[in-house]
Amino acid sequence: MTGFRRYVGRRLVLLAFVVWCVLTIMFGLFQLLPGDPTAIFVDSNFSVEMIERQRQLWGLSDPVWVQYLRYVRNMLLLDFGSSFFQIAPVSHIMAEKVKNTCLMIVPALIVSVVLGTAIGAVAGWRRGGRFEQATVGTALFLHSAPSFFVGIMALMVFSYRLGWLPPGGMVSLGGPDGLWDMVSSRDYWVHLLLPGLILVSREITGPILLLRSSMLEVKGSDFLDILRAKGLRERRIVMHATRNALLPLVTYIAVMTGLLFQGQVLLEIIFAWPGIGRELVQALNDLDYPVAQAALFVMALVTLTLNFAADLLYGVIDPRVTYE
Amino acid sequence: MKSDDTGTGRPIERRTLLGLMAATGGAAALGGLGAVRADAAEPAIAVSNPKYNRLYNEVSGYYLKDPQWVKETTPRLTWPQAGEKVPEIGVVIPTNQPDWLDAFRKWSSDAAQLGLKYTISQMSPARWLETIQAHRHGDIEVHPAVLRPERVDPAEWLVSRAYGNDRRNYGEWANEQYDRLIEEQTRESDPGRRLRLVREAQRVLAEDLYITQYGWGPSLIEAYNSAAWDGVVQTRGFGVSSFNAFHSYIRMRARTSRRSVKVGMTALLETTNILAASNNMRSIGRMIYDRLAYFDENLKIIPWGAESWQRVDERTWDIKLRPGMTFHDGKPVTVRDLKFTLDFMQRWERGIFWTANRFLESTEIRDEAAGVLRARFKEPYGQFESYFMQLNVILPQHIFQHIMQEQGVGDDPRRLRIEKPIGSGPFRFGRHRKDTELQLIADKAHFSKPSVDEVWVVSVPTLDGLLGRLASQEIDFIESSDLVLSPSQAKQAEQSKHVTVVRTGDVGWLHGVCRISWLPWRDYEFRRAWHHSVDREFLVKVVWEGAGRVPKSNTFLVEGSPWHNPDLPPLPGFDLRKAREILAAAGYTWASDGRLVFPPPSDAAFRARVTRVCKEGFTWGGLKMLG
Repeated sequence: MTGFRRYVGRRLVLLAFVVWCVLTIMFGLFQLLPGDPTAIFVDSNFSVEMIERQRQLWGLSDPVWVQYLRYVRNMLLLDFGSSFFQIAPVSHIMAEKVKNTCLMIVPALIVSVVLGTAIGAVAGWRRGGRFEQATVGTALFLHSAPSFFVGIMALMVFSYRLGWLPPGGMVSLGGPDGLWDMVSSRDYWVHLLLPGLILVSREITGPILLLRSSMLEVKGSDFLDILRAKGLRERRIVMHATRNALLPLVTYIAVMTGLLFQGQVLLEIIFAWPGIGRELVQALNDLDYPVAQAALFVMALVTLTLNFAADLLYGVIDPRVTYE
Repeated sequence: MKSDDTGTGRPIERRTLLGLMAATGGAAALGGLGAVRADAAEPAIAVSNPKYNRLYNEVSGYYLKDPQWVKETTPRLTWPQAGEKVPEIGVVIPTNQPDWLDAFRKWSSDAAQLGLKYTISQMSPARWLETIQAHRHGDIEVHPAVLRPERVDPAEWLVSRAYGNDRRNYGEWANEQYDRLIEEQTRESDPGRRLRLVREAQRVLAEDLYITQYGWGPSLIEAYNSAAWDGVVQTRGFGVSSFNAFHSYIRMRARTSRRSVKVGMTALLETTNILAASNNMRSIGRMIYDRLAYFDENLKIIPWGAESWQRVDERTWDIKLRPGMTFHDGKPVTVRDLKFTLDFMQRWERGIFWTANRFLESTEIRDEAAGVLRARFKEPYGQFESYFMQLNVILPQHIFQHIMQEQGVGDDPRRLRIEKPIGSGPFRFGRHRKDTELQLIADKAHFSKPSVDEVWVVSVPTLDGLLGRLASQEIDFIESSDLVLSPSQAKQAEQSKHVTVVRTGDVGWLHGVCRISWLPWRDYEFRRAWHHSVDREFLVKVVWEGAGRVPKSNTFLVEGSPWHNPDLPPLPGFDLRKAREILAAAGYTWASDGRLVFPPPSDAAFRARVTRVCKEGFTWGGLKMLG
């Protein structure tokens, strides 16, 4: 156990170092970013004095090192300041946007993992069969298809032409507002269907291909022969094999979630989903530094944390891994 | 040391050397003194008329206080040597304006036949704004006009884009006759006399060939759900669906049982504090808070929250509040609310409402029972109706009275959190889901009660998304403040049977201002020739797909504007042969590589033109040549 603690400690130090690097790089990038937010914010009638006053209010007139120290401190305390343009604390904005993004990706993630695991396991078990060939071919095709293109096409066909599904947003105009009211309403699920399916079509390919490969390795294991010798039915044997093949998937899910969190930006724009990705793009357009920095930081933090969790989980769920 | 950019092998040009010297810090060091010397023997950058000194010398971060500006300007104020080529013409274009780039590709290719070389740089919109505001955009500043309430008044463009003492005059034009007319019209409170001054100012602007209008437009093309709505109002310059001119939402009739109109817009619904809002939310804010005056579909000023106003003298007006108005919480609107609002804006506001009230000196309730307020301005005021009355709204005193202290926002009203604005306008603030939707509920007790029951504003990030929603009847209108359709987009929208496309007369333009304060633009003959190199029909007919007008004259106040001068000299037409003739007659020659070469230093006529800058008959007050 001491070894495990030491391992966690080392990983935590490394995580802190990476977070610091991310923060510093982000700060540098925003310093290098062309354009002055006051140029967008101010009315052309404003006097130079008024513009300078606004810069002071935003802390842009301070020396760079002062801005840097303030920025690092605030970010570590999750105090993202106030949005230049939305006149609201960025932490509130982030909380709302992260919630909305989760409302899009979590259901898609669950469906992708459950369905992908089942399909991948069967495909791996039936190696060389038509099912495997079709599964691999389709998975590779879906994996390669750019989701923004698929999204626009799906929107055009199912919403604009056929009118079967709503063209975007989380709920209809005047629809349910609170979190529970929303997720328990049919309206939300109908709105989620199209972006959700597109996300699933992309994300399911990972578990499918991974499970298939993993199953191929497990398939030749001795314990399966023992199970067969015991007279277990094929279905039960596949389930046993799948459990053993799941190991690499656990870490993959953690990484996949982090990537999914960042990768849905275009879908949020196409489907007018008010999530963190859309917010980030808008903030970058407006040079709303606090919002853009916070959005990037939250995205980075989610990815790093999930990677960290994956590293720990691997050791927990696989008894063969030791930390001595 | 040899120059390596011209290929001539002759020693480095003196002007280039001066530029380099200025860039290496000498200029920066001397900039703080309010004067810049390229070397000890060179005279400082100075202006012809001391009245412009303050602008160039005292504004922190700009002009002589900006080393970069000095670096770029110094060589262009230095007399060219014999055989010196006309420098490359720099233009910056924001990346969100691909139509400008298309047009400039053609124009630069045409100008190459005159021996001119363009350098076109693309940059992000934010960077572009910053660049032009710092006057570091090179030779031509390109700008579009999108009509907003504050731009109905002619001074918005006449002053900001051409007045010699305004830093938004990006070409640094300082024509003393023009500036005098502008100062007079600003102080002229008689509308008839002001119109005459404005028209005269347009004449000077057009004759001096400072700006060039590339195109009038683009046309206001909009598509809406005509199966559901009838009787839309086409407001000149704004169209049918703009929240800035919300006549349609007041007067249109439902053709079905649905009385809820859905309007899509790309802008995010960022804040509900009207004092902090950008144009889009401010326009919605003016549907919630009554303004004092409004404009009709022909841009004629009409009473709104103020029933009438009476000019007492050139600095004073009596404003009579419309009787019987109530705020959405049921409290009556009184003249005290109006006084409170104007006092509040003067005391706290630093944004657009401050701009609207910066000339206001005092307010006084003259007749509380009749609702009459006397507004007195610091100086004779010409923009009372079309600016002051247009922009100001009525805030409820009972809500705003202590709000600054209660919310602890110091002296910055932009930080106020106003979750549910309460005004007296034709629409009440309903449900708001940030960045997604906003409900405006019709106030049927309003003096201009809307025929619809409610307006839903839907935020959709892309134009494609908006068009798709219009096709599937998810929305009825596309808000047109920042977005109009191209003819091909309109054609696509029209494929849906329920969609009708309307074109409304516009007063917009795309223009360029040359950096007239430096070479080669200081030479009137060069300007005249260059104007002939611009194929405006290409922009209008090809790039804009025919959705625009080929400009007839160089004015900000184009045909359709109530302030337009119909008797302006016509624009020099596209004629490259004529342009070459003008240049040749003015003493310009061409190098062996085809590049245009300045007239020789001995050309007295050239020196006289460059010194004078303006057309004969006008006088120049701006930057002087060095030496």
